[in-house]
Amino acid sequence: MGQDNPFSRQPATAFWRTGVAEPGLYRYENLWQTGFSLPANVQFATYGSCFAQHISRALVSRGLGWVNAEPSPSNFPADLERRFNYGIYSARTANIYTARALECWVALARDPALCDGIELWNEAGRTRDSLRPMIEPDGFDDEDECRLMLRGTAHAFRRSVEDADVFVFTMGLTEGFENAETGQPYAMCPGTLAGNYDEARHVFRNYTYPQIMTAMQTAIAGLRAINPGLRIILTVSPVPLTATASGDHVLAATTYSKSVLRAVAGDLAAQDDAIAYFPSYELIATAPTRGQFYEPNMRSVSPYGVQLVMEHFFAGLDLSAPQIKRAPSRLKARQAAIRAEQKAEDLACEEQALEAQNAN
Amino acid sequence: MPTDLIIIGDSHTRALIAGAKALGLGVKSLTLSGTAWFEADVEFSRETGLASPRRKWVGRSAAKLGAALGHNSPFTAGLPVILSCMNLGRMNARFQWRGHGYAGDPLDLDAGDIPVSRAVFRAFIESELARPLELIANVQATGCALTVAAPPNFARRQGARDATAIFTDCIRALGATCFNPWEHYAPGTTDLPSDHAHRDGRHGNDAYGTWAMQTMLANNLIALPAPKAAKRA
Repeated sequence: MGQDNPFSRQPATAFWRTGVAEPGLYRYENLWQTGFSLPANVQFATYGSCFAQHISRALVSRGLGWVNAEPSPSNFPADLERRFNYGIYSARTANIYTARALECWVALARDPALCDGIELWNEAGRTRDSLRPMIEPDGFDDEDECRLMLRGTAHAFRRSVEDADVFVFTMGLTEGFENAETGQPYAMCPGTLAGNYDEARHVFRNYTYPQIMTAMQTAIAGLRAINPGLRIILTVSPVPLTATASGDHVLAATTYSKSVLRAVAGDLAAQDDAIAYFPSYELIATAPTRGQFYEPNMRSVSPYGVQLVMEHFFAGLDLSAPQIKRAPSRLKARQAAIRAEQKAEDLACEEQALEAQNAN
Repeated sequence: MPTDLIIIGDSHTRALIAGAKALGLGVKSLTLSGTAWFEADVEFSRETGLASPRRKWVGRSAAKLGAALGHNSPFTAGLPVILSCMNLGRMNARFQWRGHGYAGDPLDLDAGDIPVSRAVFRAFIESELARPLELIANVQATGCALTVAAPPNFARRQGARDATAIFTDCIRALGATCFNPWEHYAPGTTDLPSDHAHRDGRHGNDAYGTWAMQTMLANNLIALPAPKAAKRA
């Protein structure tokens, strides 16, 4: 007793009593730190499963930089933004639930021509792409429009990575569906909200640790090929599975899914100084919360839970690095041209209006 | 000359006024800047027909026009009214401001164009038109014989023509009559014919105005007072 050992040098946060039990849920300290310094004018790109949308909202409300590489048109009302899924992630990818899907989006960002190989679903005269079938409530007019919009999002995804200092990705599921022939992942099981399920073409996958690790490593390598200085923050969504196709009870399937994702995220962060793990899952889903941050369905996370998660997210960011001098906005020249055109048009309109008044 | 119709609107009224006069119609008009219309600064007024909280002269001008016709408001004068108040240029500037382009037009994604689907485009245009449509609905509710004239455009872009078509749909959904020039040019026409273009490259000229008025009359889009209509028939 009393001898020097690895535990005797640990901080209070390393012990359950002083780190969790005594401070209580709302007084955790030093829950996480990025391990890298960021400038105060840091720019984040955010993607992932549905829980990820809280991060973009929180960044914007705190006045921190959030890259919106595929914004809605200027002056587009908020209700229409929500309806058409603008402003949720840094590009209109919709939720990216699996590592395979992230790997796919990164590949499209690096080569948007690959969008031509993405499966489209035609139903009732409308077309949806299988990576984000619900991105527009009624789908697209035709395949040409659908592919154009998908390529547009692939370009936007790339821009978001180029313009970001930090890529935040919330890992959601181990379960997903793929095309049996091409291996293309789907955003959701075909035949649920859109598409038609075909047992011969649509294959269920419950990705294992090695598969997810490989997909994440490929995705991260692709992201760094676009932006070599990119830092990455990984989180795991605390939202349980809606359903499992694994054959297991959904409670057991959820635990498997979250455990594997948590392990992959933790190992990636441990192996790479430019990757951090943010414990949103732990804040919501572990024993000390007694499930209090879940809504009565024991699945949706309450606003109180989201607030607590985001407070810890910001507390762990080190924003002490010198500010980065940014290149002028990509839109600067375009907006100058629009202003000039508007000025010329206003002048022409004034002349016409004066002539009209003289006609009286 | 007795007044046959009233023309109210933005800079596009000039061609319509010239066209009406060329056809021998007596016209009274009120032209306000397109910016005022676009910023929805101009609103409906039960008293004077039109008013603006920031530009008092709008109400005064409308009242003056009404008074010249023996009424408080031009919309209660019992004459047909042509209203032209869709500022496509301003709308287009807003649409393109963040780098957006319409899916129906050629785009350069490598250069940063952000494509917008037809559904989002329609939602955008309808949103931009919300306040002008409110004004038009109020004018329509006065019971005047209203014809809303959509502007001609020069952009050669499908988006400009589709925006005009959406505007037309919205007007007709209010139960109002709408003249959309693109519905009367030959199929496949993608730009205003050169003999209809004003030299400023942004408006219709007198010939356009005459053609537009003739087309509206020929298609019964304007309800002229009976003797005049009989004479024209």
